[in-house]
Amino acid sequence: MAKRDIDIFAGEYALGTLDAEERSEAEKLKTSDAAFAHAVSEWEERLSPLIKAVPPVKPPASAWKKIEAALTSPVSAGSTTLLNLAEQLVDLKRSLAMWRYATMTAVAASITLAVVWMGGLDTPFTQAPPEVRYVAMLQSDKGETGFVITMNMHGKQFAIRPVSAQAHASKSYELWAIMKDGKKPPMTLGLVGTGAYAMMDAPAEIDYKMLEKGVQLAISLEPEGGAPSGKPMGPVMFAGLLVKQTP
Amino acid sequence: MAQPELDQLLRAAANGDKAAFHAIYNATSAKLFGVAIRILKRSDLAEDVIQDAYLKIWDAAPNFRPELGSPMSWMVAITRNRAIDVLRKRTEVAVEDQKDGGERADETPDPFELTAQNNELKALLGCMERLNPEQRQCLLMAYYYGYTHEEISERMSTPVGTVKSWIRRSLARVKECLGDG
Repeated sequence: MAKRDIDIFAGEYALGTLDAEERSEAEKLKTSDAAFAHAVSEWEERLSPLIKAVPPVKPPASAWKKIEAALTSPVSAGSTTLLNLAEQLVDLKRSLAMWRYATMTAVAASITLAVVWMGGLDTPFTQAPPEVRYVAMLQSDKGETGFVITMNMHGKQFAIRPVSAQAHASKSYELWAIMKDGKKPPMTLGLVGTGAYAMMDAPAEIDYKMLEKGVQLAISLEPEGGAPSGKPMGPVMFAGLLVKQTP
Repeated sequence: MAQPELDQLLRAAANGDKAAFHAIYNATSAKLFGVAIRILKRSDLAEDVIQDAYLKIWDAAPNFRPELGSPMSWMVAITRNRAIDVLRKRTEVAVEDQKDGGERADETPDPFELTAQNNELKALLGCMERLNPEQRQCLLMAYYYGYTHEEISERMSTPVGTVKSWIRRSLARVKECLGDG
């Protein structure tokens, strides 16, 4: 089908004129062809103002009761997602143990970074002290260090050093900050590569106070380009607490 | 309900917040039920359809892409698709003989009657006004009732081929007129 015909086919599907056979063909195409699915969404949006002329009709009360009874959690059970992890973080004992561990490993991280600085790489971490730095070793559940992340509150920047993390085809690693009080949903800090040392700007919402309260960093494996919903959906590959490195 | 509010509720629902989802239901169910009942013309079938639609909205909320459209048009599309699928499966049963879907169900809604129009609707109607009346009527019948080309052809007493080409041409012209072509 030519591009224009595909678009009109998407329009006919959204309009509702296709017969049963053509509709199932369109539905198959919607799952296999992203451009077609996009065209359908565009048509649905384009035609949607017409809905304003449909008078509302109050559904019977039984409708909500049946819906409510059938609701399940959107996070599939059993998989370690960041949402589960955020809940686990409220568990203080576990967090304390991780703090102690992270403090020890932070020393190792600072040595790694010292080598980077002596190598003459230009990083804002070499800017004038006093400054407050935080460091996190992001490890897998097997204890492998995937990334070392340092944060400079002065420049509000992150430095990301991939260590042993492997790239996955058609997938992206996405970095998330989870407040230890568990009150906010995980905040994306952006995509991280496995190739080279990189600098990223920290979101404006991250401030010193927040870091003092405790922030967990985690990296999930998401579809290429990052979690489409803005929320972590993929498995957590590496996680670690951000701890203060400077006095 | 204002769209930013619906946006926020949908995000909360995507995180598993059932109270937010109930608020979405309260704000939108009369509209979605109205859409379903117009297509199916039977309240029992329309009730099944909105139940399926809301469960799909709950499951798919994490995948909702605000950059592709508003939450309301996304939810309407889910409901219409479900209603039209049910309608197609029931063509052999004379759905229309059993209607109890309100006295207006037979009358095609006329968006041109609406007085308080928002900009999107004004733009769309402005473009639809440029079509000839039969072509415009085809689009409205298809959208509000989910009629196939064949059903529209019967109701308009016009050959199927003509209806098909009217609809295709109308869609192309509306898209071009809205500046998306």
